[in-house]
Parts: sequence; C-alpha cells; structure tokens
Amino acid sequence: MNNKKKATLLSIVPGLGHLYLKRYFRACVFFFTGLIAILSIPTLNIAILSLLKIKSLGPFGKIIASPVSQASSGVVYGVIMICVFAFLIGMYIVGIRSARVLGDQLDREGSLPKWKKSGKESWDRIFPYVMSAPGLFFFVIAVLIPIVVTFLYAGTNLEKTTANNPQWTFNAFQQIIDDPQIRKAVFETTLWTVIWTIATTIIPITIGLVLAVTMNQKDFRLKKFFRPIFLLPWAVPAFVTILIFRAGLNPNGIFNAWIIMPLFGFQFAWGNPVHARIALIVIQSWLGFAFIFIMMTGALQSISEDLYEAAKIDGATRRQAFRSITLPTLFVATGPILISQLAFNFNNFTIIYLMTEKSQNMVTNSGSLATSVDIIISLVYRMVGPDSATQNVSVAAVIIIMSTAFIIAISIWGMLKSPAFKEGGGL
Amino acid sequence: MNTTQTVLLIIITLIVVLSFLLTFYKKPSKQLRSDSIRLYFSYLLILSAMVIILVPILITVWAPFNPSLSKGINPVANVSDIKFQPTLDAFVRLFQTDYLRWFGVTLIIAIATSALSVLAISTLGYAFSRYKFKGKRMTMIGMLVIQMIPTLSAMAAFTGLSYFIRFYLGGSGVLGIFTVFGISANDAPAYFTLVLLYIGGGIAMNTFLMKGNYDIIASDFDEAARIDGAGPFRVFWQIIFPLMRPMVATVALFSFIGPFFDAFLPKLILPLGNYLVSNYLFDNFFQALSPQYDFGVFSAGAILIAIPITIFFIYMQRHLISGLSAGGSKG
Repeated sequence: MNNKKKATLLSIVPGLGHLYLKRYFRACVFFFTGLIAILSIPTLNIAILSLLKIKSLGPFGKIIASPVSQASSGVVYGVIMICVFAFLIGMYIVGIRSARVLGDQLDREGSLPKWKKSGKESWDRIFPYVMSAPGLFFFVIAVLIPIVVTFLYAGTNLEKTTANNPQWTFNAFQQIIDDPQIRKAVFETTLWTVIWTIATTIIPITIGLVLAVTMNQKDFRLKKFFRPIFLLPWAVPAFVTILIFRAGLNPNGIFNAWIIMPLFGFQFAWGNPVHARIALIVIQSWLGFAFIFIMMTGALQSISEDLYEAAKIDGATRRQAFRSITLPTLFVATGPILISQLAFNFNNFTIIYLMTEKSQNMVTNSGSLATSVDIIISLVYRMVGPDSATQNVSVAAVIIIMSTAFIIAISIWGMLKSPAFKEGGGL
Repeated sequence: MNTTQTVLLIIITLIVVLSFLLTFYKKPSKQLRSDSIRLYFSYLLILSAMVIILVPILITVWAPFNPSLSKGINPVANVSDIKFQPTLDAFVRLFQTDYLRWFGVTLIIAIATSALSVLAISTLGYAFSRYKFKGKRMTMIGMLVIQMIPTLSAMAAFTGLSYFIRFYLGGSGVLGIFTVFGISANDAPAYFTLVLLYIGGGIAMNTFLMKGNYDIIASDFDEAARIDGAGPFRVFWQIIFPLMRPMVATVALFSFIGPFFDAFLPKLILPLGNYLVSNYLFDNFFQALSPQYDFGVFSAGAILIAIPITIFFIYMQRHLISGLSAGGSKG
C-alpha cells in the first residue's frame, strides 16, 4: 500500500493522516475541527428538530419574547446550525484531500519539503480564504441567513394565533388570494408602489438634470456659492428633514399654516389620501434631486472643454453643441442612476416609516392593515412589526418573495443593458 | 393680501432683481442679447430653486432656537406665537434627558460597526481583487444578486436572529461594556445583533466598491514586494492597504454615521426601554401622543448630530462621489 492510499484512509479519522505524514500542525487543526463536528451532533439534532417543529426549545430564560419571535428563532437556530455543520464537513473533506495530495507527493518525490517551506506554501494557498473569512462570515450571518429564513417562513403558517403550534404548510400562498383584507391591502399597496416608484424616480432626475445643466453653463456666475446650497437636501440627514416636514404639515404646522393655507387656500390633511400621497412624492423629490444634481454635475464636468472648442471652430452653434455633445453624455450617465433610483425608491422604507409611525392622522385604507401611503415593504412591516395585531409572518414572507423576484428581474435586466456589463467588465 | 403672500411677493421681486443684476452687472462686452436672455432665465430658475431648498433647511435649523416652544408646544407645528428671539432653552432641557446616555451607546455601536466593517470589507475586497480561488466566481455572483434584495425585507427574521443571539450570549461577560450605560447583561446581546445587521447592510455594496478601487492599483507593487520576499499578509498590510486610505476612510465614516440616524432597526431589535439616540428622540419626544413630548428637545437633539454630518458631507462631496463612481464603473 502506498503512502497516498494510507494517508487518505487514515484521514477518515480527522488528523490521523497528517499525523502519519508528520504534519503535526495540520493534524491538530483537522483533529480539533473533527472533534467539534462530532461533539456538535447532538446540538445539530436539537437545532434541526426546532427547525422542523418551528419551535424554540424551552423558554428563553428571563427574556420576554413575543411567541412569534420565539418560534421564528427556532428556524434561525436550525439554519445557523446547518450552516455551521456544513462548514465543519467541508473542513473534513479538505483534510482528506490535503492528506491525499501530501501522500501522493511523498510517493513521487520520496520525501516531503521541510516544514518551514511547506508551511509557507500552504499559507500562500489558504491566504485568500483567510482574507475572505471575516467578510463572508458577516455576510452569511447578517444577510444570507435572515433572507433564507424569511423565504422559509413562506412555507409556514406562523402568526400570532398559531405561534404556539406552527406547522409547515403552503397556506400562506392561498391566504393572500382568499383573505379579502390581505388581498385588498396587497393590491392597493402594489398599485401605489408602482406610482410612487415611477414618480419619485422621474421627478428628481428631471429636476436634478435641469438644474445641473443650467448651473454648468460656462458663463454662469457664482457657481461656487450656489453649489454647496444645492447639496444641502442630500447632505442634511433625511431623518431630520423628513420629520420636520411631517411636523410642519400637521394642522397648525408651519408649512400648513404659513405656506399652503395662505397660498392655495386649503388645509393640508394627512387624513386625505390624495394630500398625503402628493406630499410624500414632493418631499421625496426634494430629498432626492440633490444626489442626481451632484452625479450629473460630475458627468458634465468630465466632458473635455476641447470638444466644445472644436465644435465651435467647426461652426456649430451652442444649441448644436449641446445636442451632440452634452445630451449624449447625460444619457449615458442617466441609465445606471435610473436603475439604482428605481430600486431604491421601490424599497424606500425610511421615509414611509418616519411619516407614518405612530401617526394618528394617517387614514388606513384597507381595513386596519395599510395606510394610504404604504408601499410593499412598509406593508410587510405592518404585518410583522411589533405593533402588528396579527404578526402574520408567513403571508409577509410570500409578499417579500414576490417583490424580491420583481426587483431582481428589473436589476438583472438593467445590468444586462448597461454598457459596463457588455464590455465584459466586472465579473 | 396676507403676510405669506406679501413675503412671497418680496422674495419674487428679489429674485427678479438679483437675476437682472447677475446678468448685466459688469457683463463682458461680447455678451449678446440672446446670451443675456438665456442667462437671465437661468438665474431666475436657480434662485427660485435655492429658495425652495433653503426654506425647509432654515426652518429645521431655527426649530430648536424657537423661544415659543415650551414643553408640549410644537415649535414647527404651532406657529401662533413664534417670536424671533433665539433661546438655548431647548438645549438645556435636552441635557436633562437621557440623551447623552443613548448617545454614548450609539457611539459604541457606531465605532464597533465601523471597525468591523473596515476589517471585513477591506480583506474581502482584497481577496476578490488580487486572488483567484475556488468558489470566488460563485461567491461574487451570489453576493451581487443577494445585494439587490433590500436587507430590511428580512425584518421578521431579524427578530428571530436577535432572540437567538440573546439566548446564546445573554448574560455573558463579553458585552459587559454596555453595563457602563446601565444596560443589563441580558439586553446587551441585542446591541451586538444591531452591529451585525449594520455591517450586513453595507457589506456587499462596499466590498464591490473596495474591489473596484483595489483593481485600480497596479499589481506591480505586490509583485515587486513578493520578489523581495514579503509574505502575502505583509504585502496587503504594509503596501496595498496604506494606498487605500481614502477609500477605507470613506467606508469607515459611512458605516460610522449609519447607526446615528436609524430609528427603525433599534425599535425592531432592542428590548423595551433600550434605544439608540435617534430612535430615543423619535419615540419619546417627537410624538404628540407620548407623555414626554417636547418638540424642542427633539429638534435640538437631532440637529446636534446632524450639523457635523452635514458639514462632513458637503466638505467630502467631491471625494465621496468620485470614490463611488470609481468603484462602481469597475463593479
């Protein structure tokens, strides 16, 4: 029996193969990961059971948790433990393969390189994995696992009333179609989400474009004075400005009493869906155009002055130069901004949350589920948030799956259309 | 004619006159009449836009100094007796609340988020940019696709994750730093969850930004160092990382700012009675429904954090944008 086979077979017990090859450090590493894997089998068993039964095992000590959170933490527990165990099994396989390669080398060359040299080589080899580890760890625990768990919720019937005994079922998909209250809320918010997304993308882009072009004219004075002012809506944290707008639009608020009332002759009312929706679009446009303005100014400044000079020498008028030099540049710059703005506004939760949270003025338009300005993601919050009456996690998960599929389709379409992708850059 | 209409008329007159001045005062002799008309309307447009931008900003800045807001009166929402005599009363009341306590907690969260983000993002971006390794392509495509799903859509799972982490870390000494602020050892893991979620929120986008910026640095640097016998970590830490300082600073500052203006995740994750600073202000002092309601305190507290960040954003604007587009174009 040659060394390759021996080392491979011995590695079935983690670390033994490396011990045979006198690679003591690696032997230790693989032995201990194997030990951890074996010791964690009972925990894995419990975790998988809690995933299958959608139950956290035992009460969480002194922590007072809502039943839904407790039950859902069982799913999280299961998924996390499966990930950990998959990693440990991966390490086991890596150990076997590493022993095999070393054994093969021993067979062919008769001896193994000195420890110092081989240590350096393997450090070179595992270096990219070590470097990726922290980033991937955070990505998996804080992004991937929550999303996987959310998708899993869609296959349960988890809500406040069933939290003590949830089941795996596909009722949630049926419930969206059958329950008139949910159906109405989903339909109305989807409609408003579409209007909201388009309006808050088109309006700021138009305003930002016009202002950037206007201010970038060569003979425009005081650019240095105006430009910082035009950055303000982007630079002042939205948390502050949104809430000032909200307070100012209350019945005696400064915007209402000093601006809207005297100029237009009517009272602004959050209770009126038309008022509320127009106000939100206007406020988001005010917040959003500054960023477009900065991006467009950057694009305009990147156009070389020589181009305009050359056009002038060739006898082109200012308008012709604008049409054939400035406009194409702006169109190229607009494409990616348009896609990212669409995606951003489709899920612009912050403004909706800050405007509606704990508001008594906002009228709910579909029973008690959604207010007139709720977009899909805030409807999800109404369903699962701490203030929700039903905490219908499963139906919310179905809604998320649908809207996620939509937004990913749009983004991929945009990515395929973008020139950067066509040139084969990136990946 | 009411006051507002008068004020509006004055503003419009001012805009018209100013545009006229800007167009014709010391105008170059070769300025044609058509140029003058174009410039005149440009100034009209920009000056009107400036008014629309500045009015809400001025109202925001004015709010905490408004003398008429005593407790229970909304300075922005009640205009009947606004007097233009600035006072610092609201700030005095602000510091009688728990503002500083929650500010301190937020500071710790922000520092942890910022440091861990930089660690995770600069190393992962470096691996993506400089190395070919098994699973790299799959990981990158996966991250690109998953990054399109807004992290908030997993909010139901966040609460589950939070309770899971509290179950395992609750009462442990690792997070004892929070007891300085009177936060029980049982509640501290919820703050740890928040840090995880803040890091997760930016990790995919920032990693690709970072990768784009690493790609710009020619690999001659690392090769020369490798030939001189430097190990891979030394190449990263002593040669490439220092070159990335501006980008690292940008990522660090962006992730540092995040926790200060999040009013949502703390409410979702933290146990009752625990806050981050802006969620403390929003939940307790903004709402007319809440017993502590005091708009003066709210606006004073919010503006104290907003001012340095606004100045930073305006000052760094050019750098931020060029950093974003440099990374983005290479994606």
